[in-house]
Amino acid sequence: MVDTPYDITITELMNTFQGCLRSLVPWLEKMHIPWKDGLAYDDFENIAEALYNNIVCATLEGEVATDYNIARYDLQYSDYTGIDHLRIIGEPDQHNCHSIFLGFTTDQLPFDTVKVAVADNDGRTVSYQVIAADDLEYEYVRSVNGSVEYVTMVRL
Amino acid sequence: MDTQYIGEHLGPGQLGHFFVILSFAGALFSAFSYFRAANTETSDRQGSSAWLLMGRNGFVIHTAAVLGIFFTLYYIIANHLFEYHYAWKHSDLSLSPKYLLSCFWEGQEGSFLLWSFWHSVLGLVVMFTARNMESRVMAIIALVQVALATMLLGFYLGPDINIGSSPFLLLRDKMVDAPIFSQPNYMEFIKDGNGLNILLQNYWMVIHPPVLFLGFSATLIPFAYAIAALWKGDYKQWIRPTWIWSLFAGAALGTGIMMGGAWAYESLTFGGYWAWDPVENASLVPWLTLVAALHTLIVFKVTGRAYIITAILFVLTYGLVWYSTFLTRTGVLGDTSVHAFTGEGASLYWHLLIVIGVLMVISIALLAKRWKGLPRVKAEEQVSSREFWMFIGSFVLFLSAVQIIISTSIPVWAPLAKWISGKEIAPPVDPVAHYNNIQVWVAIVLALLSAAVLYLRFKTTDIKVFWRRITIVTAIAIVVTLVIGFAQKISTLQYVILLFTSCFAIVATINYAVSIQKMKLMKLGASLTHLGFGLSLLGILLSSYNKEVISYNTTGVIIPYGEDKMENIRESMQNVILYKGITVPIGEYDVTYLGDSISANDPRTFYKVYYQRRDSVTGQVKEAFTLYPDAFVNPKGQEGGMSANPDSKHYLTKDVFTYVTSVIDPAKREDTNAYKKHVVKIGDTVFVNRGYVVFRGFTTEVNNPNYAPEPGDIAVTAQLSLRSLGGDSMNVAPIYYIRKNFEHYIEDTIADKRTYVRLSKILPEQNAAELMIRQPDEDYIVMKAILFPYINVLWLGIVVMVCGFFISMVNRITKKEKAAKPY
Repeated sequence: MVDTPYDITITELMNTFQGCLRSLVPWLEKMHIPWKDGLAYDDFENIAEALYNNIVCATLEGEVATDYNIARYDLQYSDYTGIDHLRIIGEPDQHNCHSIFLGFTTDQLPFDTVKVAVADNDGRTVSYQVIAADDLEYEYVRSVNGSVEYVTMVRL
Repeated sequence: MDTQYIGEHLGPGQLGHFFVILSFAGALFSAFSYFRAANTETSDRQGSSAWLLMGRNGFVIHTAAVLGIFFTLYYIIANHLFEYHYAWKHSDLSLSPKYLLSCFWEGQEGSFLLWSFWHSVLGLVVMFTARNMESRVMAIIALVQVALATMLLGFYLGPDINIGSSPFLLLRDKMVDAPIFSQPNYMEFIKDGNGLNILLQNYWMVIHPPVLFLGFSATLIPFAYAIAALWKGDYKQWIRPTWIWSLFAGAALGTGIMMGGAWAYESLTFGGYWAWDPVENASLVPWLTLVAALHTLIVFKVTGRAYIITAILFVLTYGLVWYSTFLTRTGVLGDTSVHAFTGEGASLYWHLLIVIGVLMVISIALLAKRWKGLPRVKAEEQVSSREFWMFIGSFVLFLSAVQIIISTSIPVWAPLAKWISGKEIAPPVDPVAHYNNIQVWVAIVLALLSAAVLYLRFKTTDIKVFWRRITIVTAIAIVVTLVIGFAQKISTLQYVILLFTSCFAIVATINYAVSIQKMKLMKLGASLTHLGFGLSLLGILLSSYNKEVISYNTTGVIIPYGEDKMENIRESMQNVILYKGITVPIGEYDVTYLGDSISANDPRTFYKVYYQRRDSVTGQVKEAFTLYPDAFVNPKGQEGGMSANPDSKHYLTKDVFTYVTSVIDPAKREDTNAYKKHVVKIGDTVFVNRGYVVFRGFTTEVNNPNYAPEPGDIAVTAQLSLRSLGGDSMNVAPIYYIRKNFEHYIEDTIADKRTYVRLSKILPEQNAAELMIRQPDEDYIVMKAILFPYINVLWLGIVVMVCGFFISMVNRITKKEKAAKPY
């Protein structure tokens, strides 16, 4: 098979990552590896982070990132200044804040929600929220020489 | 004209000197080449490869030279070439071949050689495994080897100034002024060596120092990786190898320390495995900081936090290894250590300080240079995250190390403190209490954290789930604590808390391993290490809290142990006198001293002590065994007097630990025909063979067939009770009478004990009597027996902990992960 380069949106990338996590659920259950929020320990943590690094970060890094400086999966930062991250596309809220992707969580179905950090215009985290994952769109926010770029599509 | 000495074997020494120089030159060449390779790895790849090859060759030559030194010195010792100072000082003809290696670590030169040997071996492993980090890491390792090689150079710049000390120095060069060396045939008079310290002639001492030094040496590798990371500003690649090497160093150093404890337990008579001796502390402190560094390294790998503290802790760990050498080898500790290391002169003092200074200056300079660009993550500190509590645990470990090293170093900094404040600061009088008072609380905190941290997740934790899990574990731990606490009668508050935290650590780690890790062996590293830690604490608590002296002296006789009266009384209460053939009850045992034995090539005398345990109802012997504690008089070393090695009966749940505290020095046996004078008041006791005599008073009633009263006689009988160690009692009544102004005595004889008692004088002004007692010099030993309950829990804990380290290490090695990406 010949690999043909094609473009993929960051949203599709994140949906792929979400799909990977979901597809693992039966196998995780079979292997008695806890995956639900709160119950998941090192095993699932390692799996999720490995998928995130290899599906999301490696794609972004290989395509556009100058250095591997993307916010780590599920790690809460107090300040996103200078740290590349994935942001939920949408209008800022009444406090002029944006939502930054932290990780997928589970409400009704596996990984059907997203935990986000709500950060102000200066990149400082003000609160955390869990929102429904459906219909969310993402963009990759990266710092290049002090200025901020917003990437919505990368080439595979 | 130079004296032509006869009978010397100069060849091995010359070869040894050659290897010493070659080792130094090889290390220097290797360090320089590797340094050049590292500095040109991006600018001139071809040149860098050439330098790399030269660096490797230099290091291989250095390693070969170190091996050459080792085998040459071994040849000199094994062949008893006493013209060499090292062989003469540390060995003798009677030395058993199995202890030949122990000669290496008795002396300063051999210790540095052993250290250098391990560095070389580990360096070779790094050379083959470090891949693209090889040049930077090996440059550091080779540089340290240069420093170590200088310790063996033996360049004399003046009468008291030397760079290192060569193990191949001749006796006549070391003792220049000794008259014997004016004779060319002096070798004819040197029939034997000084001999190895008898305390080192123990199987633990054959394996404990090499393993301990392997642990010390292994701390070099994480240090080298940390420095290499700072040097090149590459903070990613170093994590995985440093993690693996830290686990290896932790396991090796931990094993070495455990072996030291086991040696102390089996060979020393302070009645335990840890005495907070400065030399013990000096090995423990680097281990504590290493374990702290290992945990912060994991935090750094997972979250990107704590890089700076991790780098500092690795640097500190290796610096502390050198500082430990400084403490133990330069004599700065004076008489605060029981270990037989004495000052090796001012040159070594400054030599070590310079090496430590250089290592620290390089580290601090690199840290300062890279300070602004060091990895920092502005991640929020989640109190519910695993990394937060791992960091707290590491900090507690660090504080523990600080307290120990500051107290241990009092002899080092006390003069400075006195100069500043005018106050004299002395090392703690009771070091065990001094350290325990703080370290017990450290242990409590660490035990809690080591278990609870496993139930936290990195980054963030669902606190409800955490509490649900931890509550169940806590409930079980409380039940276990109550059971053990009541069974072992532990009631002191701080020890009850320690018992609970130990049980909590054990229960929590077992539960974690079973219910969360599903007992998958390769994942059990951390939980096994933490389980081992909990078991070790429980073992320490149980064996120390209920440690019981069972050799109670019920005779009331005070045995002279020294000048201090209270010490005499205290020790007398805890030691029994065993006469040959006389059975004495000790605890639940009937104990009989059966005699001693010696062997041709062993200066020690072994005492055969037979234990029997009888059924309390039937009186039948349920168990019998023989222990062989040994002792020797006037050994080499600083102890002086008598030195004893204990012997123990090991049970699953307890140890019966036995050692002799006093024996008859053959050189001081008394004339058995001489009477010995004792002045006694009413109620006083006089110790005699196999029993004691109590003076009850005088009476004028004289009933003795040997006494025929005459008018004018003044006759008095001393009323004495003889009580044998077997419990029998009999009256003794020597008579004193004055007849026609002359004193007369009628002795009373305790025939079967061949003891003669004479009332030789009445001292009315003191209301006392003067007794003259003659008795045969019988064979006896004074012995102490201690019961250590559940000491095997401690040994088990340490073994489990070390296994955990190794499993983690193997897991890390076999994991095919990509280069770590901390952020």
